[in-house]
Amino acid sequence: MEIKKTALAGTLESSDIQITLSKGDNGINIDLDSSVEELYGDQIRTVITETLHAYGIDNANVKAVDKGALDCVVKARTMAAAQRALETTDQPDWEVF
Amino acid sequence: MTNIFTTGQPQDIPAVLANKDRRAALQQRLVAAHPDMTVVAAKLNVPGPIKNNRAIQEFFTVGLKQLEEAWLAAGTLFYQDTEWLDAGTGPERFYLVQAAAPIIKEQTTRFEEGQPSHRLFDLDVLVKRAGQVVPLSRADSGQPARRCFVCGRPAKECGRSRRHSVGELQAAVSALIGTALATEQRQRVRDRLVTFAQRALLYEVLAWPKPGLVDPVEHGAHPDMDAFTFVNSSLSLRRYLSQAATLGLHGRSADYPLMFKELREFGKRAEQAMFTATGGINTHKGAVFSLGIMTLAVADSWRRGGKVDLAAVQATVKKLLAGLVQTDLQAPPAAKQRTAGERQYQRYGLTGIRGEAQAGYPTVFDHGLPAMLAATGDWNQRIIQTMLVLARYTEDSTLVKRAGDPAILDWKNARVDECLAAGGITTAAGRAKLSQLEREFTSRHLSLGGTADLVIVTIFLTLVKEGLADGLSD
Repeated sequence: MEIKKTALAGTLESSDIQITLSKGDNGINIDLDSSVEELYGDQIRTVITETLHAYGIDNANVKAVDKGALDCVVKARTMAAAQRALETTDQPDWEVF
Repeated sequence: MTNIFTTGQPQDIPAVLANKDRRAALQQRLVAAHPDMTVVAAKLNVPGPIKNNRAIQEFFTVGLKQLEEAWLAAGTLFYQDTEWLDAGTGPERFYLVQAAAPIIKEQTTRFEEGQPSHRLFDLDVLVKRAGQVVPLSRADSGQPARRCFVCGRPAKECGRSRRHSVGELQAAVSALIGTALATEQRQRVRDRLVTFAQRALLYEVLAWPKPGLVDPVEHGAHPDMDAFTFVNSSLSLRRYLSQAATLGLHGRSADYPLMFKELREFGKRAEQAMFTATGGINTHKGAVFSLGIMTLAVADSWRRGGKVDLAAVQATVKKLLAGLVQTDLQAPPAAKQRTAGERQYQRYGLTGIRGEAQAGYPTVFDHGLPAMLAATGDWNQRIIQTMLVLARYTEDSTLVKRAGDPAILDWKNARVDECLAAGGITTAAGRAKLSQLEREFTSRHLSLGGTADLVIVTIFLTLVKEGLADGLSD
């Protein structure tokens, strides 16, 4: 699937993650800023990548600012960003969740 | 410890995330609209699906009252812009504060760390950074990060790893909130008891007509004071009454004689406050003694039973005052420093208020209180009728002192009986006798000062019985 526009989901509140998705042409590139990077950086990257793949997104630049979000929050915010980027917000793909 | 999570609407992740979006949008708008103020977002960290209910809301409101008091004391001006008190995702409040963000961050961190239960508060101080509204972090001001309220590790690690089960977290939150609310409830009961005690003092002086006492119409028996003197005196006793209530509400050792000793020390200071307020006139010395004891005993009963039980109150009074007559009257101070009560014990063997108090105020419990609870009509009528009943059964040491002869007690009893037989304040004939008695007391310079103290105590107990929401059984 092709990203149609740059999209953002999530906030900078604690226990949240803010995901910004934009077009890319070299796989999934994640620029992660997290207060728990050392312990959970890889886990967060994996959740984001898997969620994007489930939407058929193979190329994207991802800016992720994490404030201690749980995996389910990372997933939900990535889904919302993907749907906005694909302009499919009105048809949420609940199976991914 | 009770579980506070038995009520409330469970929240799911989408609801919590949608609320974060809503909060972020409001914060964005507030920061943009108020460039000269700092926005503070207050919420609670309540893990698990239940994030709001009555206990949580009360905890939130009470905690923020303390934050507001800290701001007030620091001279920090603020106002509340928005409140989401009953949001399913948890209560939230947004303040606009007139101070620089780093200074407020220091205050809010101090608040969060100030008490164990404040650890549950999440106070975000918002700033604009690179176009986005973000909360200042503790690291920005060089303060250590939050600790987990279960195990003390860095909170972010425990939160991310889900180290603790929801049940474990809720138990910890329940304990913190339960303790905080119990403290708050004690303070409310204390304030209520102080209000009742001060009302009792003021109601007594307002009631008319009172032979041998000060009322707003007449104070012939006490030319050196008037109703205004009593207002001043009543208000000067606030701190003392609060101390008495606190003693009872927090008493842990149940060492009643020691509690009474402490109360008496507070009482001596209260007397000084009273004399300062009245210009050296003794308005309420007896009331300081009796009302202080009764306030303590009522508070003690509430602490032990979560309600006030009259039998328990009377039992506590007896425990507090065990041996009072022996210690005070049988080994009194040097003659010239003696009080009227001490002199009368020496001369006539009358034990006066000490005997009455040590026996658990039987005159109040057996005569005054039943009379007041049964009396109909407005407060004036109830108080005067009760005063007559109390006057009838009180060995009034003020009266004996003024008359210089305990034979006055028989005269008083006969006159009060006549008045009561005629119906007291409830009939025209009784009122005529009451007025006549008032004139007689004035012309003979007689006083019912000892009775007045028992009237005050009886009003206090009536207010407690009729007004303390937590119930009272007898």
